[in-house]
Amino acid sequence: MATQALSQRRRAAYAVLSPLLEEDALLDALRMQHQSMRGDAVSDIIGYIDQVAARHNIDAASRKKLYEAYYKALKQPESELPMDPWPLMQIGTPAEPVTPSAAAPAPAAVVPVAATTPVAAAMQAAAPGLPAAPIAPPPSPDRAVCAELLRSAIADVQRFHGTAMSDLRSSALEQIDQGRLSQPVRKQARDAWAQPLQATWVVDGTPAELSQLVHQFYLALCEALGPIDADQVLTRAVRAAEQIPAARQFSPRKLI
Amino acid sequence: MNELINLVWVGICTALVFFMQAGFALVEGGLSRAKNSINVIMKIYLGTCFIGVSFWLAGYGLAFGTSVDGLVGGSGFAPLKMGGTETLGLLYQMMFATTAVTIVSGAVAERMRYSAYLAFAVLMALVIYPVYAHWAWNPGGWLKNMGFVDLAGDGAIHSVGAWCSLAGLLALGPRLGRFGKNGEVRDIPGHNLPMVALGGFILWLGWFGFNGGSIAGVESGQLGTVLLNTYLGGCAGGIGALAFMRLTGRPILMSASVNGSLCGLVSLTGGAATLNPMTAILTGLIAGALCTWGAEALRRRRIDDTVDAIAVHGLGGTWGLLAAGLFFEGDMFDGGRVMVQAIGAVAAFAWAFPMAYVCFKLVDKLIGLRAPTLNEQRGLDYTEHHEIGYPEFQNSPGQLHKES
Repeated sequence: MATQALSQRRRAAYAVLSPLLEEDALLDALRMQHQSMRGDAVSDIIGYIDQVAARHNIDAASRKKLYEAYYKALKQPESELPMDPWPLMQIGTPAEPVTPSAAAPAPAAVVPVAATTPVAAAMQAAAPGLPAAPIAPPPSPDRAVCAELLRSAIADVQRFHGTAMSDLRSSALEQIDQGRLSQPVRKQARDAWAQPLQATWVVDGTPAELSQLVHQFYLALCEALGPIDADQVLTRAVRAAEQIPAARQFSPRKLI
Repeated sequence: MNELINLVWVGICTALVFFMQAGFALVEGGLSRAKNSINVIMKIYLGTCFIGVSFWLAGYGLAFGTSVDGLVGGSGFAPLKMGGTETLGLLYQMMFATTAVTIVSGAVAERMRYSAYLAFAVLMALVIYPVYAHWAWNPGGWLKNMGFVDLAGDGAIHSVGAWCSLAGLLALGPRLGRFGKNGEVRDIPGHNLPMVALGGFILWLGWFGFNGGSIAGVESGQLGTVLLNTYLGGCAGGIGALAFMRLTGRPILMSASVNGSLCGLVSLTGGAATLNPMTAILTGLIAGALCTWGAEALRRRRIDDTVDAIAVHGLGGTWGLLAAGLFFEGDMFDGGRVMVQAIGAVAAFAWAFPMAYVCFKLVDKLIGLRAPTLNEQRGLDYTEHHEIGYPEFQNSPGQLHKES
């Protein structure tokens, strides 16, 4: 439930701020919301919009309109809001400070987002005013590539086949139970499926286990979307995974 | 002189029927996904090799050897010395056996192990096909002696091939993701429809040999009728499929049109020599519509036939047998004749389906029938043959493994 509320806040902020802010500023505002906004009360809304307005020079008239727009957007049904920008926020994001009071999504997989992107860690170090966060060692190339492949595929499903997401999740969980994965890998995968869009998908497993995980994901895709869409999603995910630096050391094709 | 002409004609027909394998390869290869196209064509290609040897070894003897109580042939196994006519007859019948078995390869495409298919093909060429061929064509066969009309194999080839396919499909199950949890049918379009159309034309050409070579001899005066009826059946089948799609508000699909005309040809295989052009057209029209309806009906029952072989060969073959009785020139709508044809059609199912099912289960037990799901993901071209059809365009793990 809490996760849904967080997602709703991000989607609402994305909806009302995207007409006003450039992409970088928008992502910054979304991260700010993620880190600082504690609830949906009017005071929280005003506080957050004031913060954004101050940081990005939004005039007073627009600011007042934003109070109302954001308040209304938070009440809108999910179907009328854009998709959750969380995956976008993860790409090249500064590492998140550890702030237990902030309503951050529960970590769905074992390694923090920052660990998957060394660049993010560097950005965090350079970011002024943010408390230092413990930075986990970067995952091995095979795990980073597998994580990127699965994240890309899930974002793709959310984008093009949003309505099939719950089918995909239930099929994937069935596959995980039926498959030959080791217990720790199975547990990590199950945890990740609890919040697939927020999870980092960095899974501690051997390349063979990761390949098996990807295969199970493909089976779930086939069940949820059909084989043609499954092939297309997997192909696009492989191409996306080929773009990250770790793919020079471990080709994502080894996972399929 | 007549004998020589007949010999040459049957030789030409043999080549035409053999050329139908190319047609099947194009149709079935085109109707499967790019990652499985080589696998489908390889099944047809090497299947042809195995079937040829198996049929020479035992199939021909079982089908055309001296009849034992009308049930099975008991001589002529692995023949070494034969007369010219008989040798050519064996070769011609070998092409028929190959065609019957090849029907199965398309239906089970994209998920069956290559080795399992070859094992089944051998069993079918050794036992399943020859026994029914004996009943229908051997002068001592029990169906033949009842007056069963099956010129070139509506029962022996198309029905038997289709019912074996059905058994294979039930033993194998559908392709990954073909049907949704709520019963919805997911489309899996073929990767190359121009190939399908070209294959359709080649099969149509081959049918002149199929039916034309089955007449008693060129001197019988049947050749013109048979070739004309064959051609008209193909035309009417295409029109029947088109009419069905148009009248029921469905999109006019090329693949369904090709299958419709093939079904029209199938429906004329049994009675091409005994129908007149008008009843040939009627038979083909009904077959084309039946095939288009049947393909969808089977999908709704979650039977995943990759190339709609059961609709084309099973429904077309059964209808063709009945039509050969119904529209028998000079003796139309003779109840007794229709009954014999119906018995022949039922016998095809009753023999081929359970036998094939047992054979598939046996093969499954011994070497495994279904390819692993990982192979379905990667494509059977690479996983079964280490080759892919379109290396310039395909994102295949095969490329990677070859590079590394």
